[in-house]
Amino acid sequence: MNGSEGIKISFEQREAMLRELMSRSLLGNEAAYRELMRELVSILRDFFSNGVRKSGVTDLNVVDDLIQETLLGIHRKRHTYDKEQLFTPWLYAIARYKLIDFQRRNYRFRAVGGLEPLTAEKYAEDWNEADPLLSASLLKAMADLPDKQRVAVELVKLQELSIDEATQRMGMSASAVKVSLHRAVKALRKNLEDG
Amino acid sequence: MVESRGFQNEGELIEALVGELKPVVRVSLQRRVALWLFVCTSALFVLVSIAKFRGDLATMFSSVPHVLTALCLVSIGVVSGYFSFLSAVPGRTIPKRALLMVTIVAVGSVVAMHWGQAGAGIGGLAVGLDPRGIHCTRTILFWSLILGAGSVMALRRLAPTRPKISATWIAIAVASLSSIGMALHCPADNFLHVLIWHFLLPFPIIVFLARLLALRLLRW
Repeated sequence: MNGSEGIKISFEQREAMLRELMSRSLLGNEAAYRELMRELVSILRDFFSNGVRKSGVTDLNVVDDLIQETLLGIHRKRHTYDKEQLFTPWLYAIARYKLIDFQRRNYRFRAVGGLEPLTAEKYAEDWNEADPLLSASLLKAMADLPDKQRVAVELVKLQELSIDEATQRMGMSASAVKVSLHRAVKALRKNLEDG
Repeated sequence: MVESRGFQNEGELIEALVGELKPVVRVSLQRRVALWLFVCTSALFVLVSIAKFRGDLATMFSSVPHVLTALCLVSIGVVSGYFSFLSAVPGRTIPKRALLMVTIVAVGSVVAMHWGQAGAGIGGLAVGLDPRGIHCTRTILFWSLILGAGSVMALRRLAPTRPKISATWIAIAVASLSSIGMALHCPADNFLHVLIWHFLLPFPIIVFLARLLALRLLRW
């Protein structure tokens, strides 16, 4: 057996396993579904890590976001899977769609200036006048946040925009804004607790 | 329904998804297309009824060229609708020659239409180019908008991973169906009138609008 045959067989085995798990999941088998989802996480992590790196994004949370969005997409659209068809093309079509959607949003996000680098000093300069009580440590923690999370906090918590308004400004889905906000608050809390 | 609310890790999300897992009853693509076609033709019947059917329907249906033209349009509508739904299933591909097939049938419908007028004399250039024909185009656009809205809802139930392709095909489909509706409403059979105001103007506009709105409307 040569190398290419080995790869071919392993691909076919994986396809057969995923297809079997998906077929059982469609019948409502929870154990199979759990196993399928865990398998998909590792497959999707490889796929998105490459895709996101090519987009020039360094925020590792993006890969997690994309994996979660894709798993949700697979869950909601699982009725479109035809047991007679291959599973892998179905999976990658959804993953590719989510990646392209992310790249499109990311492009819009950059276009509105959401990803401009911001330093702690710049933040302090901007916000000291507006709210003198904002401590230097919070300002530093804010500046240390990934760009997407920082803008989410700035728009929703500081400028008090609604999620819908922030969604429009950032060019992201409402759920993605909520995720960014949730992560930002968690990171800020941890950062401040650590001093 | 589980929503992306910032799960700490994939494990949490997976447990939430497993928690709401239910057996899935899959509706076949053919059945979906048949249902879509039934709803669209019913809606079109109502729309044409409101706008009033032309008086000489019996004469129209006894004319072979007219029937051929209508059959060509019906087949373009059905095939384009099927391709649109097919493209909204992840991992499925549309035959490469699909657009060529549809174009050939469209040319066939134009030839049949021309044949229908050959005996009567094409003449009527002034009638064909009469700008009042814009009323027909406007009506086709309006009908297509209504049929398109329902079609978008049907497509969103699937998972359009290539929204612009799905939107293009569904636009061709609803434009074809609306043109059939217009043929049942508009008494003018002048070749140029039908070609310009029923086909050449509305089709590109509908396809352009569909592609423009595809990413917004078919996002999931």
